Amino acid sequence: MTLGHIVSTLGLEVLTPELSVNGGADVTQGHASDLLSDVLANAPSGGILLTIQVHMNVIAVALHAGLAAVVFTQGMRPEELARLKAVQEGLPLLATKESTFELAGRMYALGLRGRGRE
Amino acid sequence: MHIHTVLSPCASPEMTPNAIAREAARRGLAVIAVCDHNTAGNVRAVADAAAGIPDGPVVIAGIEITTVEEAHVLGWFRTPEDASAVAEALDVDAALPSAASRLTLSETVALVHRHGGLAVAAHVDRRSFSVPGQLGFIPPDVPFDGLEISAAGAARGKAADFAGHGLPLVSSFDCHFLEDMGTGVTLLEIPEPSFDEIANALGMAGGRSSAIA
Repeated sequence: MTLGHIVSTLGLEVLTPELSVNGGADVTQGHASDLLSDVLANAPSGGILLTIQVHMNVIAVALHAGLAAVVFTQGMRPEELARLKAVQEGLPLLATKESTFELAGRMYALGLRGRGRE
Repeated sequence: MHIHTVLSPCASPEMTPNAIAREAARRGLAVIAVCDHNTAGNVRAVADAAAGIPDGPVVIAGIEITTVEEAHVLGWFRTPEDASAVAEALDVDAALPSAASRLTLSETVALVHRHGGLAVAAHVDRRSFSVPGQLGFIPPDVPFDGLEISAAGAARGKAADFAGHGLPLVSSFDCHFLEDMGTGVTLLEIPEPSFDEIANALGMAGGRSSAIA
């Protein structure tokens, strides 16, 4: 499904209104982690990342991992500098007050899946 | 340069100021740094103990700071007062001494520098609580004074992985037990064991230098 469908169905806040959430490829996978070394190693390319990690590095790591978007859960928000970098690089940033657990559950119910076992 | 006392919940109860000072002297260490989690509360006690024994080490006032990203950063300071001022600014709940402060990595390094200290990213070769572990890589815009390689990592040649950052590498044990003291060693070519000379060595100033043993 499109990122836009996920955003509207789950009521996610769009932190990067400068970017369209309806353009890109379908999103079918997700990953939840606050350890960016783990995101680099394990997040599925084209997937969506759920995290409470707001350090600037999350943008570079998400781009390197080829992620479709990052959702900051539990009310966490990145600094404006990180947001601007994401806009510049075309990486949509989203936010929710829900916990990572709650949001991951709702995304799973929508049909998104994790990387699975290897 | 990274010794925990009993003030750190993870340290062995044997890590008392007297025992640390005696063990450092027995092993012939010229300098040690006391780096408890988010506190400098035992620095003076170790320094006093070291001053009271023959061949006691010079004790550098340190703190192992937990940033909001849960990355560990060592702060080394000229005086226990500088270290205490930084520990106070961290404002970490004394009931959870190794918990994260509210300061970001950049704010932490700036705070250490404001108090004249050196900021070293701790055990960068480890996955847990290290800057690369938490943040995927070492942010190039954070002005660290050095990177610490754990003793185990140094023994496995991990220092080479971090040589490309243009930062001095130091090695220490992240010592929680007396028997581990002095097993991770950084060699400093300095005329006297003092904070200022360590700072010179890390900055490669005035012919001073540092290297991992």
